[in-house]
Formats: sequence, structure tokens, C-alpha cells
Amino acid sequence: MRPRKTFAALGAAAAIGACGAYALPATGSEDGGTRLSAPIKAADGSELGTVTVRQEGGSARVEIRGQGMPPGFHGLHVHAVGKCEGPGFTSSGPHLGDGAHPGHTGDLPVLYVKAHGEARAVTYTDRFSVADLADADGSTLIVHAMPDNYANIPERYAPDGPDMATRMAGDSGARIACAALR
Amino acid sequence: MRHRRSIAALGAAAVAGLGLMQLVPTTGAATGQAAANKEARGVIRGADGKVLGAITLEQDGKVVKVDIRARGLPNGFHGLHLHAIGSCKRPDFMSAGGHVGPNTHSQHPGDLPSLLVNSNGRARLAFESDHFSIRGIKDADSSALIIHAGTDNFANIPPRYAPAGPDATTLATGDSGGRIACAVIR
Repeated sequence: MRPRKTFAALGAAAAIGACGAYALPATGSEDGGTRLSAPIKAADGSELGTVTVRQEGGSARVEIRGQGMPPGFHGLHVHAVGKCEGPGFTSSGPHLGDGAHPGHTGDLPVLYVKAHGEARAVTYTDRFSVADLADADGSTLIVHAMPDNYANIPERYAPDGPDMATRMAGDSGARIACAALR
Repeated sequence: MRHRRSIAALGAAAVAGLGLMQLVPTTGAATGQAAANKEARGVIRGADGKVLGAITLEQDGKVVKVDIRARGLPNGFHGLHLHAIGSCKRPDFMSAGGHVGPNTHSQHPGDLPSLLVNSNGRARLAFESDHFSIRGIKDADSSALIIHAGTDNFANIPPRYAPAGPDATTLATGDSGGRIACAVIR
């Protein structure tokens, strides 16, 4: 709630012409900070779809529409920095939130892409709000090359538990598409 | 479309009073079956039999639109699959059999995106799949939706853990653990 109030204050400041530049981070946010939408882009800049996040009470409704993606399951996460820059969209930073995978704030259900490269999914999460995504440096939605394993590496494979890489990212592989949410 | 035309022809024949009345129940059943393959649903119940939610499926061309709503579930991600037998015998739901096949995990037609349950125990997930059809899952013994206790790893066990690749258990189940809720698809 606090970030939302801050944005409202900044918006008010911009409206009275105190400092117009501060209104910029909120331009992707519509409906008074309860909805965010952004194009999903490939590394070459081509558009692969849209993500829309809408606040519905205590949950954020995340809707993905995709096309031109490789068929199958893909790791899907909100990353901490609202920048989709190459190479490999590493500019988007790690998964949003503290803790270990799949307990990160930004961890989402895998995206299923149909045979012709199209995807459509809606999920609800109470781990973040629209206001959380629209913080000072924004956030990104990242589609990964591989399915997320949710750090479920059974003991028979890993007697000491999953390693750091698994607990950071669920071994979802390269970042193949990115949407900057600001 | 051919199917529908033949039903119309039979209907016309019946109306024409050609003594084919015994065919009417047949045409009725065929129409019901076509409608049945357009949509399906199931009531999700927990191990104690309590109703926890519902799944609805709608066939739209080659695509099935799936919508799942549930409550009273443990917070976090849960493996979610269509299993091959439409039987939910409590308390372990093992009667539902394995994932709707063929192939290995996570290429089974019955493998679904994971269910994220919020901290209030509620979950809602909608997605589209073209990896199965309603006609396919509503076969003679139908199918069941299973919500698992653990997360699905989608058989993504990197070679540093499994140089020879994932084992048979992972390739059958995604290591999603026990079955905590079940819905017979009807």
C-alpha cells in the first residue's frame, strides 16, 4: 500500500507542475495504479505477446497472451528490475523477492505454449500487488527457455538438497522473452 | 458437420413416418455425445471428501480452455495433472492411475501448468492446451484431475544432479508427491 500512496503523491506533484519528470515511471500504469500492461518481446525486439496485471482485491490477476514461442512448458517469473536489455535480458535482475525458489514473490506457474507457438494463461497471486511491480525501478516478466523445476530436486539426486543455482532460478534456463512493467 | 447432417437426415426420416422411430433414441444419444465432447467439468474433493472447488473444460476447435478454482488448499505451488482413470477413491486417489499419456513427463498430454495456492488457501488458474481433447480424456473410463501435495519439477533435473538423465519415477510423475485432491471429469 505504501508504494501506491507514494505514486499518488508523485502524480499530484506532477499535476501541479512541481516536477513533471517524476510522473514518468507511472506511465505504464493505468486505472490509478491498479492495472499494468506491457508487450512481451524477444531478444531481437519482435513482439511475442502481452502481459496484463490487474489488482483484484488482495490478489494480482496476471494474464499472458503469447505467440511465436517454442511449444511446451516455460518457467515464468517476475524479475526485480524493469529493464529488458541484452544480452539475454540479464538487465532484469533476479526473481522478485527474498527467500529461495519457489518461495520468491515473483515465482509464477509455468507457461504452457501450444503447438503453433501461442499461449494464453491467467493466474492469481497474492505474493505481489500491482503497486509492488510499479516500484521505482519497475519489474519485468520473463519467459524462460525451459520448464521451472520449482527447486524440486529429490534427495536421491541431491542428498544435500538443491544447489544455489536451483534455489535462485529453478533451472529454467535462458531468458527468451521479456516485458518491462513500470 | 457430416455427423450433424446425418442426424438431420435421420430426424427427417423419422418425421416422415417411415417407421424408423427406433432410430430416434440413437440420434438423441449421438447429439448428446457431440455436446458432451464440447465441454466437461469436475468437482474437486479433498481426501476427506470435502468439496474444494471445480474444474471446467471447454473445447474450442483444437484448443481446450481449462479453468480451475479451488479453496482450502495448502499455500504454494502444486503439481496439477489429468490422470488416466476417472476414479477418485479416498483417501489417496491412487485409483486415478498415472498421467494421461502417452510419452514421459513433462510431455504427457495430461501434464498441466502448476497450481499456485494463495495464502488464504484459494487458487484460480486458467489456461489453454492443445495437447489433449475433451473427447480424448472422456474415454470409456474417463479421466481425473489430481492436485498433488508437492511441486512438479517437469522432469527438469539438470545433468549435474543426474548425469544419466531423470529416473523412471521422475519421468512418470514429476516427483509431485501425494495426491491431495481429485475431480472425476464428466
